[in-house]
Amino acid sequence: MTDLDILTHLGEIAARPRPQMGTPPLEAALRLNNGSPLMVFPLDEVGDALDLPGIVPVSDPDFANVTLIVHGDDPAATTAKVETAFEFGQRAAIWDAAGDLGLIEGLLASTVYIGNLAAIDTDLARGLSVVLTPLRNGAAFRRCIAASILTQWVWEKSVRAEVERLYGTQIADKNMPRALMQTRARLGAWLERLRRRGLRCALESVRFDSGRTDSLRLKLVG
Amino acid sequence: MRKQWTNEPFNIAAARAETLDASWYLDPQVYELELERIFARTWQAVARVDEVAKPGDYVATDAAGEPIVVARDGSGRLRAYYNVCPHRAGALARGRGSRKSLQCLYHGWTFGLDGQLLRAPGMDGTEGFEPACFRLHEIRLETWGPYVFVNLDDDAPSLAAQWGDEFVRQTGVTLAGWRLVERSEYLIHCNWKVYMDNYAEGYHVPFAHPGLNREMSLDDLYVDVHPYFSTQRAVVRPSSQGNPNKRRYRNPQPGEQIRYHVIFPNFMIDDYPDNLSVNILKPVSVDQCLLTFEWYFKTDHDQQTIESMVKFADEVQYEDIEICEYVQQNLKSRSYQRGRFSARYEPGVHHFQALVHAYVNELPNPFLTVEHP
Repeated sequence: MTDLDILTHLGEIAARPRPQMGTPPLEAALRLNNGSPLMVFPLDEVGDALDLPGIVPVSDPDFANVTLIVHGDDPAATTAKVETAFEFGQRAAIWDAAGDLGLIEGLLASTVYIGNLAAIDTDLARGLSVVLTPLRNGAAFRRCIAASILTQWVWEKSVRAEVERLYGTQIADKNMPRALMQTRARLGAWLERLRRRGLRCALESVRFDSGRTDSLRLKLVG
Repeated sequence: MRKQWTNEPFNIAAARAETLDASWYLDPQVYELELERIFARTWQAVARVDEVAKPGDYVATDAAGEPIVVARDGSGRLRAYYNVCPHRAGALARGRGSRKSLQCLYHGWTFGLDGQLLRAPGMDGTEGFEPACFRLHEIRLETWGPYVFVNLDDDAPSLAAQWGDEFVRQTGVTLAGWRLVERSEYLIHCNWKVYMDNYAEGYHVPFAHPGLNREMSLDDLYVDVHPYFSTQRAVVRPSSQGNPNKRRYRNPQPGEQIRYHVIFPNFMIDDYPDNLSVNILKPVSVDQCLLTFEWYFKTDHDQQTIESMVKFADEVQYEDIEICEYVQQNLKSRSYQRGRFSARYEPGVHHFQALVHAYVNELPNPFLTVEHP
């Protein structure tokens, strides 16, 4: 055992000023990361989408912090790219602007250990902010990835329509317990599948701010 | 309030029996026994046949808390193995796909889909190492309708002998000729038996399911009990009763029935005049279970009919989930220990609980050995 003092490093991160709520995620992540940029190797054509603060596109995956995979319309092709990136020891982040639920089914059907993804998001800047921050590992990271999948894919592309069909977009108070139960049952079932692929957390609570279906809030624990 | 597990004899007559003690639904020790003595000893649906349709197709799944891989080998035969490498317990497969062999994700040991060890890199200098002794551990597998079932008990009767043949003979339900149109999963915060108890009786329909109650009447509800399954059946109400605009079945044929089949321990079939749905309940923990719901229609149904039926069943489903989650909470109450069965409406619940009691206590199936009262 050496006398390396890890607490110094952790303390340094903890001592950084916390970005104010509402700060754009990438900006906040850059601040927490002391302004160090993120080298991104885009495996797919992204145009000028990587023209973002703190993001440096590179053409060689060996010099990148993360390989960016853009999901098109073929879940099998996207998951195959992730599997290949993992085989080469690269970190892989997925950007799926359309929020294709088939992608999540595809990941669950593949050999990809979803907990090993660097990020998965429908918003590129927000996804890269997850890669950039000290959030990179541990329980907070797993909760972040699970929340991303549950809210942006499962809720938006499946469960939301079921809830709105029964209760509308503005849920009446008398219907709220049933709407919450329904949401928890359906999202919980997906989380159960995700748990087995590395996202070991549980859904502690679900709520809708102001009773509106466009304001789903999840609390994940574990 | 923590309740000690109370394991008392169970009366085989529904009219005289008390329900299982509340502790059966709350105690992790009971849950572990149920995994070992019920789920590891009965036929469990673990995959769909169409997921492993072609040689080389595989799907990683689980049963009774055990990781399993189902694969179709090169000769077209379906096989199931523990998804555990005999080297150092790595996983052989994840997700599903198609491969000519199964390769351990840990050290790369490679197995044929017939279970034979093909390659074990780096084992050359290991004394007495016999590749033939390191076959994958095979599990019993049978198919029934569109489902792949496994049984972890080498001594259990075949699926056909246990319930398959008798079920088809008694109900006429085979799942042949039906088309899967929808699938949903629900995580329910209750012990798996709470859900099964609820499913096994229609006694609650007038109070908990107003929509379903318009379609069927308790007056016409009958329960048939067989050694490994039970069926509740009710005649569809004539549409003259109630507002026909709110009815699912507006012009029922005389004698047309709604039936609910419970195949022990966790396979259920909703058998409506124009559709079937299969419910498979998997325990997740002592107080959580995962329900998979699959809807089947005959091929000639239009999309609108399908959507309205799925919506109807989905609403009934959420009504049941709400009840079950309340019951799970209330079972913890110091005020409740055990109840009684309605001899008229709850023989199905009694049947289910009697089998749970028998399996956990490793007793013979009471419905095989005793003339049922």
